[in-house]
Formats: sequence, C-alpha cells, structure tokens
Amino acid sequence: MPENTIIGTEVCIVGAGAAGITLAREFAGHSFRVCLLESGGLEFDKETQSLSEGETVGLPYFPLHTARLRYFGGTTNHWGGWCRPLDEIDFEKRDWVPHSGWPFPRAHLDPCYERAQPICQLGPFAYDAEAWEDPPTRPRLPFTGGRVLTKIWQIGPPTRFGTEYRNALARAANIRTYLNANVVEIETTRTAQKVTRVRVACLQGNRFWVSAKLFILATGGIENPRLLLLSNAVQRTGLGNQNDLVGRFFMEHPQLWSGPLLLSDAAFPMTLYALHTVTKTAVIGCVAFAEEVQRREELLNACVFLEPQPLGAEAAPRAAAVSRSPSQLVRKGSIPDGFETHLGQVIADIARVPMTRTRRAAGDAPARLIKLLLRPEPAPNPESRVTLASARDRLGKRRVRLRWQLHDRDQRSLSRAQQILAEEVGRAGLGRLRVTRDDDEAAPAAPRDQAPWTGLQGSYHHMGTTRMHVDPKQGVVDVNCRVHGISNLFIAGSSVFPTSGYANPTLTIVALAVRLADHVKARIR
Amino acid sequence: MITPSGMTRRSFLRTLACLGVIGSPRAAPAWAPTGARRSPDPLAAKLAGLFTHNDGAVPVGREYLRTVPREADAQLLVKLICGSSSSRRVELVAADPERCLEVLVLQQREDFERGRTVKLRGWVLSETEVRLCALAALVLDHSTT
Repeated sequence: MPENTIIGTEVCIVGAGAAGITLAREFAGHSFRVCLLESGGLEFDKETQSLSEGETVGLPYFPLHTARLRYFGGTTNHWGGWCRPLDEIDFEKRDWVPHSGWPFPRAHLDPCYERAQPICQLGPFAYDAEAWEDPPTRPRLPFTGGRVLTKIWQIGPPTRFGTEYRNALARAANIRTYLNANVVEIETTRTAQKVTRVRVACLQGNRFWVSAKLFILATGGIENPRLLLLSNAVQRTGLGNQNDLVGRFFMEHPQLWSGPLLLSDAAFPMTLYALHTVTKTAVIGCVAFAEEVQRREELLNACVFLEPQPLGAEAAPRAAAVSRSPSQLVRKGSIPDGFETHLGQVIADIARVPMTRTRRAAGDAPARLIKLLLRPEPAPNPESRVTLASARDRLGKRRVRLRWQLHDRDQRSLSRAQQILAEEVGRAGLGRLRVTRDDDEAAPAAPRDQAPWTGLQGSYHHMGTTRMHVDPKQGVVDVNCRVHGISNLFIAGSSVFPTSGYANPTLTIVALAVRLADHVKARIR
Repeated sequence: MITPSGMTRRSFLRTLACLGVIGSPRAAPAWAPTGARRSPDPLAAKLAGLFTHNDGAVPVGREYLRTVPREADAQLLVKLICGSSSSRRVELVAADPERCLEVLVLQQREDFERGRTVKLRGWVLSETEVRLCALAALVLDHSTT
C-alpha cells in the first residue's frame, strides 16, 4: 500500500474477530462497499501481538498480550466455544446493582441470539435444563427449594471465525479485507460530531487512510477504549469521552474454586453436569440462582460448575473419596483430613434413612467429593478501568493500563450465594457444602483486602468499557451502539455491555453484531 | 406415669434398656460444664447413640463444642434439639431409633430450609446435626477424660 493512500468505502470495520467478522458476513453481497481492517495477518505473529502489551494494576491479571489474539479471527482463534445467552434478569435495571440495566430486555435480543446460534455452530436456541435432561440417565440435581436450579451451556466446535468464514468473506465482491493494518487514530471533523477517516499503520512502516460513511470499532474491550482515548486531537479527553466514561466499568468474569461438595450419594449420575453430547450438540449443566432469589436477597447473578474429582492414583489423596463410602474410607485411611472423614461418616449416618428405603441395593451410603467453580457476575464498577499508560508501543501509541477491581458488593453477593447453595444442598439431602470464600478461612495469610479474592482468576473476558446507555452521561454508546455525539461511529463487541451476567460473552457479542448489522444496513440503504 | 403412646413408665424404660439407649454413659469430660457431668438425660443418651459411626460424630461434636462452648451441656443440647415444643421431646422419647432418626432428619432438612445452620471449618451444617454430634461427644467421648 503506497504511503498515505486513501481508501474510500461505505463501511469501515476495525477488527476481524467474532464481532467484526460477523458484521462483515452480514454485509456480504450488499450493494455497499465494506473495508475490514485487521491488525494481524492470517497467523499468529509475535511482533503484532506485542502491540497488545500493557500494564496491569489492581487485582492480579493475565499479561495483556496473552489475553487477546491479534490476527484474523481474533480471540476466537483460541476460545473454548462455551456459549450461553445472558439471562433475562441481566438486562434489567436492578435497584441493588448500581449502573445496571440495558436499554432493552432480553426478548428484544432473542431473535438475534437465534441467528447467532448457527454462526457459532451451536444447536437449537434452548438453554433450559428441561430441553436437555433425561431423567433416567441425565437427571437434574433434585433441588427442592426453588432457590437454585440447573441451567445449560452449549459448547461449539469451537468456531474459529477466521478459518470458518474467511472464504465467504473472500468471495464477497463488496468486502475488502486488509491484513496487518493497525488503526492508530480516528480523525473527526472539527466539532468531533463525525468521523472522517481512520489512520492505519503497518509494522513495516507504511501508513494509509480509510475514509468511510460509517465506522465500526470491533477491536475488543481493551482496544476499543484505547483507540477512543488515543484519538484526542479534537476532544482532548478522547473521542466519546466527554463524560469521562470511556474505559471505565471494565468487567471481567471472576472464577474461583470453592467447595468441595460432599455428595452423599455417589450413585447419582452427574452426566448433565459434565461435558456431554446430545443430538450432536455439546452441552454442560451448571447450577444457578433463581431470579426470584436474586431479587429477594439482592444478589448479583452467578453460576456454579460442578467438577467431580477424578478417580485413580493420580488424583489428590482427598479425591480418593469419590467411590467409597465414608466408613470404607475411614477403614482404608484414604481421606487425609480427619475432620472431613468424620463429617463424611456423620452425613452417611444421617443419609441412611432415605438411602435404606430407596437404594437398599446400593448398601452403605457412598459419598463423592465435587469441586465447585464459582462464576459470579461482576458488579459494574466505574473504578475498574482502562486508561492510557505512558509507555508506547512500536507504532508510537500509548499502551494501556488496566486496573481490574471488584467491589465489596461482589464479595457479599458471592458469600450469600454460596450459603444459599449450601442450604439447598442440605435441604435436598444431597450432601454438604464447604464454603471457603466468605471468611478468613479463605486465605488467612493473605492481606485482608485481598483475602476474599485469593485464588481468583479472570476468564479472558473484557467487557463494559464503552457501555451502552440511552443517557450520554451514563453510557458511551446509545441503544444502537453508536457513540453518543458522533453520528457515524459505532462500536461492536462486549465493550458495550452495561452488565455482563455470568455467561461467556461471545454469543452475545455475535447477537449484538447481527443486530448492529441490521441497523447499519437499514441506515446505509 | 403414662406416656402419650400408652406405655407405662416401667415398660418404656424396659424398652429403652432393650434398645440399649440407657445404661451407663461415660462421664463427661473434665472440661465440660456442670450440666454435662450430671446424670445424663435418657433422651440425651438415646440421641447420642443414633450414630452408627461414633468415631465420626464425636470429633465433629467436639469441634462444635470448641466453637460454641456454652452448649457443652447435654441437657441444654437436648433442649435445643427438641426446641421449645414439649411434643418433640415426647415424640423422640417414644420413638424407636429408626423413627427417631427419621424425625431428626426431617428437622435437619428444615434447618437448612430456614437457615438454621452452623459453619464448622467452612462446612455448612444444620444446627440439629451438629448438636447431635455434640451430644455424642459429651455422652460417649472418653478421649478427653
């Protein structure tokens, strides 16, 4: 590309990940021209990847250049394919969750979710347990109190968007894809009410421009705000940042191991809660909290994955508890922690009433240890944010500084949710639960302010940094994902999520991209 | 004395003796408060004997009493297990061990339903079950004497 070439197009999409490729697919075959700009090439490249390096402060986080992939297909090149729509309650304005509420309900997005299913190579748009359970072989855990329930995830192949849709985009006469093309600046009119063109830089040194009627940023929850903050020639605080919202409300799904759950009946088939296939669709069940209990208890949303401990010598000594009754284990001395051994015996004793009646053939009540993976919804937090660091990347652009923070509210909600789950497990006679995340037992040696989050990991989900809200003082983009105050700049991806639920974001990213594509097609016509 | 089930006191005690729930429970540990050292309530002995695995119940009960020492009193524990209603006590006294356990399992489930739980080393347990363990610790434990 000759230096300072100006490419003219109708629609310019910046970023070829799940959102950008979905948008381009939706535009394929239309009468308007589309320019798709991708930072990387068709394969991983270390130098390009280094453009994502940045600083992290606050809660411990992955090195940023390992948290996203910068080549065609984006982070779908290594995602796991786990999909689930956000729940209805995730879209609501909840009085107990400050800054919550999407500008539309889940039902509004459902048609787009349905269209996203085949794009992510999933099965039918069905996520309730009823659709997937089979009582004799894949029963739900028999919770009786109505406070917790089973929900389903679908797991795609996983879809590598770059590989899967490359040919379709190449065949589309109206779409032109530029690789190794890094957008480094968004240029606007003097009033910053309209974007005129974007500046593109290649690591090889040459630079060019793309002018378009309409621009869509689809570079992820960290690069989207970075690009807006870097584009400060007219609006000194960054484009769309007149209300100091760009980069704020960074959300990530915390993941924490907890438990274990001592299941009193090892014979209970846990198939629904393990990865399995039903009519060619890979699914897995989790335990979640009823919307009613979230309202009553003022909880954030959350789900819990159940991971039975493996059998065999390679397992940790405590995991040897999986197949034998507590009394057998005691005789064999297999459980190293004395208290858990004794507790297992107590539970077996207490469980023997229903067991002797319903499962005489099973003999003594066997027990089974199950680890819990907690996946809570993070509360939107303006202090959790992406800003610009002073260090610069190879293209001369300031890197990002990520401060991931969780709120006391997150901790309180998680503690209460675990207590509710423990009560429901006991109430249903399923066993007993150890709650390890709500007091000093979690990590007595850790600094007090970090103790509740010891062992916390992120999920590589970057959300909320250009949040959607009808009010420009509360959101960066409007209900159509257009940046407030700028007539032709749109944002796709999870950076527009006002809240994030507990579900992995990709299905919602794709659904929102489908929705945005409809809006753009109607507007450009 | 006529029990609600129509048994005479003599036949009731004979039944308990046959079931092995009364006899000569061991003395309470020296650290236990006065109540634990008194002649144990027959119901205390009966409830303490419900566990098949005393070697499990006793240490759990001991841990509970370490956390809540004010409950180291067999009569108090029986009272707490039976609650304010005298009918529960009468029911438990009259019931055979299997029925007794059934009643207490229902009560234990109700504990979880109503949030009457205790946390021991992070495990969320029902008040009824840990008090039963505590009774076992008081009545049967001889490791600390």
